[in-house]
Amino acid sequence: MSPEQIIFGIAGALALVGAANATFRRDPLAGAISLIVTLFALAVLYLGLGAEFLAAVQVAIYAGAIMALFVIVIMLIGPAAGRARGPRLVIPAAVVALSLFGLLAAAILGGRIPDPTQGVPADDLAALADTVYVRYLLAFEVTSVLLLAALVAALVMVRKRSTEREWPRR
Amino acid sequence: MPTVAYLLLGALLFSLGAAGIVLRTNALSMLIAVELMLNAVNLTFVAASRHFHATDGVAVAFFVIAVAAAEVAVGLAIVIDLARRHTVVDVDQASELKG
Repeated sequence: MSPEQIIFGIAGALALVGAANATFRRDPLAGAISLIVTLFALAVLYLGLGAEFLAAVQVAIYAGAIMALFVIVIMLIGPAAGRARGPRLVIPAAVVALSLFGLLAAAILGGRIPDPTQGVPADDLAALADTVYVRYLLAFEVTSVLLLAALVAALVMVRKRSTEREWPRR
Repeated sequence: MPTVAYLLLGALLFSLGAAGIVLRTNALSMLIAVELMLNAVNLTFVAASRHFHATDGVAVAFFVIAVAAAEVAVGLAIVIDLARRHTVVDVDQASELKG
């Protein structure tokens, strides 16, 4: 077995365990922690795929900032508000997941993936910067506007209205 | 590893996330499932990026992470508002449209 196969086996299994735990656990806090495990395993897979910078971004921004925000909000609204009822629609969920995976697997295994073309390797940081800041410059700028809009929207939604009752005491 | 292995792993993670959205009624758990699906797509993009020796897939994965950050900010704001109006952030209880 090559090192890449060993890394893929361990990190892939860890990602699947974390994802299954995030899906089937009732407690949102346990789900968030499980998702962080999956994010770290995916960062390892990105390293194996040669996307070192994306792996760093995945750990620093996704696991570090986004999921920290998640855990903070779960703590803020309290365990009582975060408490969930048991799973509903178990059979529809199984149908959705199995049919979706069946379709995707059939497309992946049945379809013909074109042969690799010769180009720059995926771990070329200068080429990546060229792609993000030159080829996709418009998308990059639009993303900054989107982030600003999301920030303003979040502030507007959580501000306290004078007519609203106080935060419910528990 | 062949690219197909990464694509299948991504499909598996995506299906698990889709199951989580149907299964859960808690808004926080549903947001977590959405994050899982976004990450499955990211894995597929990065695998394709290596397969075709191009940086486009990695670049798109960056944009997906940025959009996920915006989505989490708005989604968690809705969750906090929901927790103020009801005691439980259950999507089945948030059925009224009056603002």
